[in-house]
Amino acid sequence: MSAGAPSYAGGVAGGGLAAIGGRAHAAALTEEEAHGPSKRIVVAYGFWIFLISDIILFAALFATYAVLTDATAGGPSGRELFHLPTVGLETACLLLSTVFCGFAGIGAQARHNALYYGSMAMTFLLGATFVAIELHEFATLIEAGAGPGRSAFLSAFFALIGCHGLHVTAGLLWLLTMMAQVYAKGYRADIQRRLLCFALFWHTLDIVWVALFSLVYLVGVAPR
Amino acid sequence: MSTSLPESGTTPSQARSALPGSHGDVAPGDELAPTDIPRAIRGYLVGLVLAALLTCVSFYIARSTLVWQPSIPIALSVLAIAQMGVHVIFFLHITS
Repeated sequence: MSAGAPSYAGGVAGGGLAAIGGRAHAAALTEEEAHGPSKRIVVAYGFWIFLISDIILFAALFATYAVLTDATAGGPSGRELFHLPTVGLETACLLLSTVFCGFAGIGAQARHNALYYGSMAMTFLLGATFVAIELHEFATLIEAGAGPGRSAFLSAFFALIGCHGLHVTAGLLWLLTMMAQVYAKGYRADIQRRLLCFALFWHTLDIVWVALFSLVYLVGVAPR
Repeated sequence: MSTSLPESGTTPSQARSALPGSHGDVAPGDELAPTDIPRAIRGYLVGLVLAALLTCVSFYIARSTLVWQPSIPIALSVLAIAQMGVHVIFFLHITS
């Protein structure tokens, strides 16, 4: 690519600034800008597009839940069902898990085995604890006759929280395969890119959980 | 915005052009020297403290009389958005 026709060549890499300068700055073009964005940037960009589409999925479920919050059909409402200490415990598990996931990313970048495997194991344990608590919560609700079939409110609740729980469960499986891939293939560039995608996925799930515990559980029990 | 980025005085384009092994950047996926580990970890710990703080405030005001009751949902929304910002900056490194 030449500096004369640079409009999209460096877009993702943020090479636009160099492009504005035009030919005068051609000599200052970096390796990355001369050959287009690096594969790591392209992969992360593509994965961000997936994550945003996933967030749109959650937004749709959120909107459904918001519309149906009061449609309890004479059954129990969130105020009677939600148990905040449980939600607090789930929140702590997922927040710590996302931090350990960050540590694992640092370990992989520094090729530090103890930091990588230890942090991944902690991420898995905390994530699995989160799923276990959530399953227990679901089982308790269903046992009490407040299953997804009881009311439109509970259908929307189980769909929204269950969808997030399924994402976390899928993330746990992905986490195990990433540990196995690093064990079998080492810290190769392509493995590092997959790890980057996994970390983005895991952090995004915690962001979705922030919305869930705030707007479903806490608003659900707040006095009005 | 303040993150765990190195304060080495390089401009962003200089940081991008840094060759692998020169450790001029701690963006996810880049190479990292073992000596950079404590600083990178510190960034996540700052995020953890901020997120935990915002979470505690959310759980507290949901059941207290600290906030005017009809405004509690809005206060919780604001706290949630603030915490999402903390996650995006300290965990997802959107700035780097």
